Amino acid sequence: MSRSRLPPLTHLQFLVLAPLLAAEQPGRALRRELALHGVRRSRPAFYQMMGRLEEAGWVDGSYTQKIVQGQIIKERRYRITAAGARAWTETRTFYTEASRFVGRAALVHG
Amino acid sequence: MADGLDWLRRASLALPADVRVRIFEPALEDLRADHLSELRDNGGWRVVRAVGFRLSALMLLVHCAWIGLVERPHRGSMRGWQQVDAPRPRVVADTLVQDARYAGRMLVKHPVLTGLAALSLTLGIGANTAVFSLIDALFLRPLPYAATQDVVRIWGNMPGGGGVAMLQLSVPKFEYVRDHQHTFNAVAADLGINLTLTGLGDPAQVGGERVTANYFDLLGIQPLLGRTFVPEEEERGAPVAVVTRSFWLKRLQSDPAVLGRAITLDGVPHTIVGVVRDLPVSDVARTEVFVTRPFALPGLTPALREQGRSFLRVTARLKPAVTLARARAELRLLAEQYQRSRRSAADAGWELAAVSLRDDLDAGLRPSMVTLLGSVGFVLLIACCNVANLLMARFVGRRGEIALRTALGAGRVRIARLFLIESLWLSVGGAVLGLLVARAGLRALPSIAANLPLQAPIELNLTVVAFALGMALMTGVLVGVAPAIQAARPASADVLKDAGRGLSGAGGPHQVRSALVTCQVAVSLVLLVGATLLLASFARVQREAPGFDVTHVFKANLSLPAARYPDGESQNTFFDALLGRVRATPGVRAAGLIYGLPLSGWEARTPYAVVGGQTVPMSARPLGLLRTITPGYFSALSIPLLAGRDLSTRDRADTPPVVIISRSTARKLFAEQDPIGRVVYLGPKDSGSSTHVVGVVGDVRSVSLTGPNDVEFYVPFTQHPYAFATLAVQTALDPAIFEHTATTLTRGIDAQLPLNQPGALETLVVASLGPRRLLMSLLIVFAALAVSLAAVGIYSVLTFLVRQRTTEIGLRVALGASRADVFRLVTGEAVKPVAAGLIIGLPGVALLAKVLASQLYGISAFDPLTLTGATLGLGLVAMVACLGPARRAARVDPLVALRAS
Repeated sequence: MSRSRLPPLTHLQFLVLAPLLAAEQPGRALRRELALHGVRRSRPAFYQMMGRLEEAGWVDGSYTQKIVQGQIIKERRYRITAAGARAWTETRTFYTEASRFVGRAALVHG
Repeated sequence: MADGLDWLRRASLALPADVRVRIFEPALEDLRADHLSELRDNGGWRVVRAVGFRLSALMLLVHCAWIGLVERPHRGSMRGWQQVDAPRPRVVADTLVQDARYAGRMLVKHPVLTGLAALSLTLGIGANTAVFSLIDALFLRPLPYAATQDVVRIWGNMPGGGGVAMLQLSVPKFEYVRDHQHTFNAVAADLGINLTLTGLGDPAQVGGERVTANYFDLLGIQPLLGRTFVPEEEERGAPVAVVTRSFWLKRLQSDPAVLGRAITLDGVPHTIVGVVRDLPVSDVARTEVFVTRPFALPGLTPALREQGRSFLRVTARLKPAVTLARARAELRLLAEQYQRSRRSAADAGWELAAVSLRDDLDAGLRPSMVTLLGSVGFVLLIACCNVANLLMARFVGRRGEIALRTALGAGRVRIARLFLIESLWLSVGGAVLGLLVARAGLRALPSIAANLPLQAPIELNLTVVAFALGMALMTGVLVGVAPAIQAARPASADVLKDAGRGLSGAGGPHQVRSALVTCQVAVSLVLLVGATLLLASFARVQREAPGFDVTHVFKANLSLPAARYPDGESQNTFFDALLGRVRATPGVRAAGLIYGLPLSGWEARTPYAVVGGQTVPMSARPLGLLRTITPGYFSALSIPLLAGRDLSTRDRADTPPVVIISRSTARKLFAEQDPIGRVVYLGPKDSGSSTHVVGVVGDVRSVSLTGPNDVEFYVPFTQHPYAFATLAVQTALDPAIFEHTATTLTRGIDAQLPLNQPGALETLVVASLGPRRLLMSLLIVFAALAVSLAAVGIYSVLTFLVRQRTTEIGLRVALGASRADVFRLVTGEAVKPVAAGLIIGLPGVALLAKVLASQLYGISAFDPLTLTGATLGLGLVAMVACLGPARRAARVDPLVALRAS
């Protein structure tokens, strides 16, 4: 059996990139998504993490403007890059294979 | 972006660029979006939400600063961040949330105690917030002038005889100071006037100011539109005007073409050259229009002007690095130089005094506000004692729980934190409800004190909300610290066994509770004595006879524009015509006119001397009040004529000058001799000013209800013409109804002449008592609050004591104690702390007496009757509070009590 190398993403990064596979998302929506999974990060901590993802080339960030209650809000939006999608797929493959490995080990030693 | 965060964005420029762009800006926009969405979905509590939003934004900046300046320099590669980006357990936060939930549940489980504690803190914090709002509106808000600390007012002081202070300056004296001083950047003058506005609907009287051209520049007031005056306009007395923003909005409907528009003031078209913001009411009353020609006092001849007729309010700005002390020293020198150069002037002997602008505006109300702030602080202290008492009592009942927690591994800090969180819940809840109480109290304010110099009705603002939350945090820690310390003490195994047995009650916690009761009683005594003194003082002031009849008297001010009434003859012709029509109206008993209605704040003073008496140089002559009247005035106000005759139509411009004096004046000038026929000098020069005394009338409280009777002279309009007067009419009708009649009669003579401030004379008297009434009312409320809270405190302490000592009481009864013995036992537990509180409160009462002495009238601050009454009253309340628990204890069934243990 050949084992995959270790995944390139942490579980938190994996969680954040998942919604981006479907479509571009605003930062607020990603934070809400994390909160649904019980992960609450302060805004600076969250955007710090997204900044690192941008530095790694896994997401692209951009600003759009929208109007809320008569005031202009600059919304930060993120789009997953091809490299990011590949890193996500690699991570998912790793965990899939690792779970099959545990099953086989149980059969051998059972 | 109108979100009030420009200061934050400017501060964020100090962050590293990538932190600002990648982290701070998106996080801030995220926060803004959440805040605006919340406001859209749930629009209540906007002020609280705004405070929370700004605090969150500030925390965001602090966090980004931490990331940018501390974290980032110590981190390595991308891989090194793996740990940081993984979710980590938040131990401290989780236990905090746990404790907060538990504390909330415990509070809900004891609704009576929680309700009492929350109510105490609501009332305490609410009262503090209301008073702080008042103080914020009156004193703390910055004046809309540049560098206010450098602006001073210059007044005249009359030393020695007369001893009158805060006198306005004459034109020559103002010009002398302006031209010879070296400590001020600029010196300006202004004169408050009423102007008749016509051509914009019904004629109206508007508040105005005549100012020198440099007035706005000196104060640093920038125009909102257009410009302010230039020196040439002041020199030639140009008909130009600067209006306030409220004038522009209200009377010109925010006309965009306001600049260059003409308005008619006193019959003369004035061109509007600028619009300025509304200036503080405490400084310029309700002025709406500014015009030039500050020296154009109606009736001021060049001779009178040179003789020192004083009417200007003078403002100056200190040069940089010049202190007020140095400016005062220079003014003393200038006053002496002026006296040497103009010996014969009426104001030659006056000293010059400089007062900072803030002191000038605040001085009158400051003592009352200090008293209020101290009182309301006491109320909060009592509320905190109450709540601490209640929490301590609960602590006794939870000792078993605490011992169990300790046995299971909870640290002392965690246990103490639990109690602190409970008290913070109470205090924050109390603060939130207290804001509602404060809001209701502020709404009721105008009905208690209508005369306060407030720009607008007081609303809760961010400063006040922040104050309330700060109070909440402080009180939460204050009330929670004693129970928390007690709770954190090491528990013994015995406590686990003894918990709930009912044999405890004495010892540490009980002593602390007794001490709290003592503190409450002591502070309540101080407040009660203060409230009683103020109430007694107010009652005396109200009983003080003003010297004139206030019922059924209508009054209204008239201001005759110079354009249509240029001289005394035209003015008196109008007054005669008006009085004739008014007197002919059915229901009118008497009518007259006066310049300087008592308690109106309008007053004129004149130097005087008795002819044939001791020779006094003009500059050293005392000043007396000068009232200009028509015949019929004394009848209208029911001021009794004690000797001689009233003024009549025989007293004209071409007949010898006459004067009527008050009884106090007659005693002061002529002792026991008959004053009728005697001659006095009235005015800034002797020649031509000999005036014959023709009558004596009763004393009138002209300046204030509590002030001494001033020297007062009444002279006829026909001999001392004046364009301003107050119509006084004694009528069988309700004075409020007479307003319509008076307006019709006035318009019947001059359709362009409005009445100003028409109403019942009684309102003047009521308004003059406004600040006193406010202080007294609030102190009564606070004293009642304090006494109630103290009673609740005593009641709750005894109730818990009885509950804790039920077994002991049962034992005593079983061993032969009577119900009376038990009753005495329980009440005896209250007598000691209450008696101690009453004794300890006495030094506080002595201190209060010093503070209140200047605000009392007709009663000593150490009045023995008040002190005794308050002490006995509070003692009685305390004993009544004991009755319930004592009777309950006396009814304890020994069998039930012993079986329960």
